Formats: sequence, C-alpha cells, structure tokens
Amino acid sequence: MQNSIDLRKKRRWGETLIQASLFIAGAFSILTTVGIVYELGKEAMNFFAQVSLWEYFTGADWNPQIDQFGIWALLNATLMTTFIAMLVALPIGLSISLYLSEYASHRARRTLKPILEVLAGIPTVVYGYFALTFMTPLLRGIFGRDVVDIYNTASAGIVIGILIIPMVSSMSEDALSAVPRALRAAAYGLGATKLETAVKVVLPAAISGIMAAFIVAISRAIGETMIVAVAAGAGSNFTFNPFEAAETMTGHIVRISGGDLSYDSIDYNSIFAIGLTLFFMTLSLNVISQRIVRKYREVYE
Amino acid sequence: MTENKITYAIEAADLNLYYGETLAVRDIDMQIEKQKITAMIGPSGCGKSTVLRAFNRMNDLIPSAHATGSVLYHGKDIYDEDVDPVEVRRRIGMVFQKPNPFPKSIFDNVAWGAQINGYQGNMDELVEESLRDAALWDEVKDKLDKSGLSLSGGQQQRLCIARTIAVKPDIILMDEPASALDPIATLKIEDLMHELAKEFTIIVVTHNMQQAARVSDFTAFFNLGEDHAGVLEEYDVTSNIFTNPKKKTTEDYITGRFG
Amino acid sequence: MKTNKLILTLFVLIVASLALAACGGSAESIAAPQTEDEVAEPQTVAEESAEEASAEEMHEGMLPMVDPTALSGDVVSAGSSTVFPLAEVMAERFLDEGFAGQVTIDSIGSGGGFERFCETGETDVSNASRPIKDSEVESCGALGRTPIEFRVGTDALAVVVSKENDFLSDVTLEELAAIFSTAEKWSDVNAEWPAEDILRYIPGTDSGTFDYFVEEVFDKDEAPILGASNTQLSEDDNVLVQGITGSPYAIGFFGYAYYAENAERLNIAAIDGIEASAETVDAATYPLARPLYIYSDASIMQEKPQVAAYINFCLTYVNEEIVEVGYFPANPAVLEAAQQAWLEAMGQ
Repeated sequence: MQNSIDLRKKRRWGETLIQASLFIAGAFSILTTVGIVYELGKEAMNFFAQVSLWEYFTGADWNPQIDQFGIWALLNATLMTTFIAMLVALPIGLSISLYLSEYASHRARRTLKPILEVLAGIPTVVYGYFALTFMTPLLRGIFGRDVVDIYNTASAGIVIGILIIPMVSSMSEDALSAVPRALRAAAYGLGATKLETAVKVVLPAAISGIMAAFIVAISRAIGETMIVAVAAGAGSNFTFNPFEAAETMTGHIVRISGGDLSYDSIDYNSIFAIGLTLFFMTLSLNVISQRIVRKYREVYE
Repeated sequence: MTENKITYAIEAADLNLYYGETLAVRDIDMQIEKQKITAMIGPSGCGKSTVLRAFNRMNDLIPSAHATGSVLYHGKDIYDEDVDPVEVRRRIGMVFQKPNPFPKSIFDNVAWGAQINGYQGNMDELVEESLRDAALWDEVKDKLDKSGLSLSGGQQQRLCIARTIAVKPDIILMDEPASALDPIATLKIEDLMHELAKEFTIIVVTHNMQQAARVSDFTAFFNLGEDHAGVLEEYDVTSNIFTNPKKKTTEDYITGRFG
Repeated sequence: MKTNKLILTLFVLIVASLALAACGGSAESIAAPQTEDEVAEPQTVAEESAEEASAEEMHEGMLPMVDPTALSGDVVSAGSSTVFPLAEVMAERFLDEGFAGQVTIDSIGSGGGFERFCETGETDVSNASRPIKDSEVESCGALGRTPIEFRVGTDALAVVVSKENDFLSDVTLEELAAIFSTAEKWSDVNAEWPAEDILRYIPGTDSGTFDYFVEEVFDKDEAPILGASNTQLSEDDNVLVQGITGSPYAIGFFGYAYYAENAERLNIAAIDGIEASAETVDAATYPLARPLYIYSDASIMQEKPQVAAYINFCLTYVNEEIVEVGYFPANPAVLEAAQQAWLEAMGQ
C-alpha cells in the first residue's frame, strides 16, 4: 500500500512537468506570433510615417529607391500568380480528391497518396527551377518566344498550382470523406450513378469544407516565395499580361532582403509594410475559412 | 404459401451472399408477392439486411461483397453480367434505418431522384404528389425551400420515403425504417406503409416483432445456421408465423425465448 | 489549423530572417570596440613575425614571404560581388597552402561590405569594386579604423545581348542611357533597330555593378533606370544571363567575369566603338572599366597576423589568378603601390 501511494505521487510529478512543458510549448507559439505582429507593426509604422496609406494603396509603381510606393505593382503580381495557381490547383486537386474518395480502389489509393506526399515534400526552390527550366520553355514553345518572357507570372503561377495540388486534394478529400456514407447510399438507392452521386450529392454536401480548403490553398499560394522569386520576375511591373515578368510581394521581400539594405532606410521598412499586408491577407483568408468550416460542422453535428 | 398464379415481384433462388471469404447468408429461396408488405425478422447478425440489400444490389457498394445464385426480377436475374445495377436501383428503391435526407431543400430532396432519372413531367406536381403520398405535404408545404435537415427525425424519414416514391419504383426496400424514431413517428410510418402497399411492393426489415405483426402480410424469419451463416428459417403468411409457427426456433423467437 | 500553422511558419521564416539581420547588426557594433583594447599585446607578436619574415628572402618584389601554415585565427571579409570570385580563388589558394583558419567571404555588395567594415566592425577585410566613399571613411573613423586601400585588379562592365541579337554590336553611352531608361522599344533609340520592347536585365541596386553603371551612364541618378519598364533586377548574375539569353530583344550588363563564363551564350557590345580588351581597359579607353579593391586597417593587420598575411598573399599572387577569374590585372605600378601601402601599414 505504502508503495502504491509513493508511486502515485511520483506519477503526478511527471504529469505536472509534462503539463507545464506542454503549456510552455503552447505559450511559445503564441508569443512568437505576438512578437511577429509587434515587430512587423513597429517597422511598418516607421514606413507609414513616411509614406501615406493613400499612396501605398493606390499607387501602381513600386520602386522604393526612387520614392514610388504603390503596392499594387506587387499586389497585382501576387494576385496574378495566385489566380493562375488556383486555376491549376482547383480543378486538378478537386478531381484527385473526388477520385480518391469516391472512385479509387484500395490499391490505387495506396499508390497515389504517397506520390502526392512526395509532391508536397519537394523543396519549393526546386519547383522554382522546374518553372524556369521546364514550364517557361514549354509555355514559350506553345505561345511563341516573342510572346512569353523568360520570367513570367504564368509559369510561376502554374507551378505554384502544382505545388498546392496535394494540399487542395488532401483537404478536399477530408471534406468529401466526412460526408456521411448514408448520403451516398441514399443517392445510389435512388438509382444514381457513381458520377451523379459524387458530383451532385457528395460534392455539394462537402462544399463548405472544400471552400475552406480552397481558401487555405489561396493563402498558401499568396505566401509562396521561392517559386516566384526564381521564376516570376525580379522587377516590379504592373501588368495583367501573365506572360510578362512581374514581381510579387513575397518575391520582392526575398530579393530586397537578400541584398544589403541599410537598416533604417525606407526600402528596409517597406519590407515590413509588405509583410504586414501579406499577414493581413492571409489572416483574413484564414478567418474566412474557419468561419466556413464552423458553419459546415453545424450542418452535420 | 399462396397458390395463386400471381407472378412475384421479385424472387431469390439459391442465393448465397459472401463478405470476402465469409459466407454471410446461405441458400435463400424466397418469393415476394406484389403489392404486399413482406417483413423480414430475426436475431441480430442473421443476414436479413444483407438479403434486403441483395434485392437491389446495394451490397455492390461494399467492395468485398459478392453473391451467387440468382435474384429474379421481371424474369431477369439482376446479377447477370449485362445488368446495370443503377437501372435495378431505379426500379427497386430503398429507405434506410437512419433518415438520410440530402443537405438540400425539401423540394430538391424529392425532385433530385426524379431529375437524375430523366423525369420530364411537371416537377412541382410530382413533388407535391410524392409528399402527399408520404403523408408529409401538410407539414412542409409552406417551407419547401428549407433544408431537409431542418425537419424532425420522423419527418425526415417520411421525406426519404417521398424521395423514394418520386422515382416511381416497383418495389420499396425498407431497412428498419422506424428504429431510429419515437413511437408516434413510428406509427405514422407504419400507417404510411399500409397506404403505400396499395401501389408498391414493400419489403421491410424490422427488429420489432409487433411492427412485423401489425404491418406485414408475409413474414420471413431468418436465423443463424450452425455454420454461422444466415438462413431463411421460415417464411409464411404473417398470421401463421405469429400464431402457428411450423418450427420450434420460430416459436422460440416469436415468444421471446431467445434472440 | 495545420495549414494555418504552415502559413504562419512561412511567415515567421521570412520575418525572422529580417529580424535576425537587424539584431545581428546592433549586437556586432557593440562588440567591435573590444578589438581595440586587445591591440597592444598581439601587436608585438605581429611585429615579431613581420621581422622574421623580412629576414627571409624577398619574394615577388617587395613583400615578405608568407607561410600560411604558421598562422592561426580567421579572416573575415565581405563586400563586392564582383570581387567575390577573385577573393574566393585567392582564399582557396591560401587554404591550399596550409592556412588552418577560416576565410569567410560574403558577397553582399561593396556598400554592404563597407557597412560591415565601418559601421558594425564585423569584418577584417572589405572587398569593393569602387573606391571607398568619404562618408564610409568617416564611419570607420568612429570605430577607430582607418581604411587602407589595396588595388587588386580591374573589372570591365560588359553590356551584353543574346547571341540571337543581330542589330546591337556597338553602342554609345548616350544610347545606353536611353536603352536603360525611357525607351520603350529598340526603335525609339535607333530607327534602324526593331520596333520590339526592350527587355532589361540589370544587377540589383545593392550591387557595386549597379552603382557603377548608374554612375557612369546616368551620372549617379538611379531614378531613370529604376523607372524603366520591363526591368528585371537580380543580385544573382546567372539570373540575368538566363534572362538575356531568353530573347533577342533583351539586354543587360554585369561584370566582365560573368560575361567570360558565358561568352558562348552572349554577345558583348562595344562601347563608343571600343571593345573591352586588356589594352582598352588598361589604357582606360574602355568607358566601363573599374578598379577592384580590398580594404583593411593597419591596426587590424598588426593585431591579426593572419589578416596581414592574407592581404600580402593576395597582393603577391593576384596576377597569377585574375585572368582566370575573368578580370584584368592591375597595372604593375598600381600593384606596387598597394604593396608599398601594405608595408607602411605594418610599420615598415
């Protein structure tokens, strides 16, 4: 008896310790986030002390060295690559997820899923060079060398799309798999074919989960850095032509911070303003996606 | 059984059903009368649901399931290679244990099956007619655009029945359609089954012997065989099964001595 | 939630690297004065070794023979990306001959190099593709450093186009100014050139190459070149080469060394009718030639014998390596002056 009481005490010590370390781990991630927001905000304030919000949000030329601070030059390129990426990732990712959840045999799934995981595990810089040395020449072969610049947002966007396919497909598959089996049975019981069941019953039932996946994928595409740094272009350019070079927000941050900036210069502070803008973009997208997911849970629980 | 010369709605002959290597149901020979209610009863795990699902090839959805023998429908074995299970299910509908309306509006829930089956007529009329037949019209006529999931459990189940009859099947298979419902909702479903039997052939699996006794014209008693495969122990007019069973096991089950 | 974290992590990475850079800067500048306090003691060591060395036979002119195996400690250098390949070769050779320490060479641009040398005091040697500015000398003064200039060679800027470009073989500085600023199409500069968009590939604004080009072509005003459309900037010269080879209507410039490496893929344009060659550069008739320097400080060299030895080594052997790297050897008289400066710095 005495022994067992001693044991109990020891075990509780360990538990306290583990609980404390788990708490510290949790607190660490929160503090990191707070620290990032603080640092971003502080430096961005320095920037906005010198550049008006109006100029920042309405200008279409971005050249900090010559006092042009229109975020749209970079934002537009980011939106272009993201849009192109989604054009690629959504249909393909969704098709893969439909195939995996509705059609694939056990064996097919066992083969396809690891392949997708490998795709997700490739370093993005490799994707960057894939864009530059494979996708761009391919586009130039199709549309002509005079039409497609060597650095262009189309190539980067397509490859970002490929990069996020695994993400779209795995999150969408989760959403599709969460659709109760009974709904499929109901559809089949009414004489629906597999395709009708998948497209007209399962897909709509999972639509909010899939939407959430899309939005998270969009914010991933917005934040993607190495591919655009390598393949999209290295000079700000406000253009809607996907075959022209244009620099995205993340690409610009990488290029500028890769050089040697004076710490208190306006270019240096501008990086934080861009970072803060990106932060708010991805944050609001994540908030939206969580709202959607919550709404989606309510339907089934 | 009845000796009339009616052709049967559907009949199983030498039907064996397997899950993988395991024999789940053995040697089923069973003829289902047209426009009657046939109840399938028996202890858990005796394969009555499996047999029910074999009648419209719903078991196909389970990758390891397969069948030998035949299920004749209009003289055609639905397990023949040239038979499309989708076509089978369009004629032999199914209502499930747990109400499973689509997360769509009430209207779309009823219209959907008809739509995919290429229904050309007036959809509003079909929906109203089906909902009336399912005894649900009065309760939902003002909120047809509301989600089917917003209804109560009993209403949802009647919606599922409405959805099934909108496709105009010959036969409706019901897999314990009232087991998830409260007694009042259960009674409504039973009343509805009586009404539906005027037009459709109904086969219903139930755990509830009183229910089988109340609603059905014929009753099939399934039991577990010595090899743990389900067998059709006794099949007769319901009143015979409940008052004058031929087999001892049937009597034991009916009187609650086992199962 | 998982993906949430992913994005956050990505973000942390970008931002953290920036924040780290910022912290690094301030921390180093605090550490710098310590080195001054330590000057006194090692100085005698340095003098001893210098005396020993001078007793040996003089090698390659006036500097004492270096024995890399006898040295320890590290040499920290940073600066011009143009000097980088040259410095890299020299450092490799220094290590090959038995130097046991580390030679760090960061390729961060001349301005960045001086920032580390004069403001944060992180480096012993600063590589530059331009002479040090007065403001940088002042910052160095604040750290108690007096930069000493050692000329190690000459670089010529190469203005290059794709092999497929059949119209541009000779260009004037005025045309260059137009090509890299206001002109939209080639025909805007010269009516005989095609009416196609000019695609511009230029080194990043932090590079000495960019500064030098702006200085020579735009009289130090960077607004026109940065405001030009279809302009790609990169610190990575290979990115530029890739871009320029991509279209017959592309043009760019960078250090001659990179042209030399990619000569089979690129055409170089003569400037004002003058081709880049040993003669034209040496005679300073080629308009886009510039000197290459390394900078250090007498007290650092005396306090850290390995730094003095490294510079000595560079000045002694640079001419054996520089052509291979792709630059032009400094005029012998200039190199001799650099060696003289070394001796003076070491108190001889």
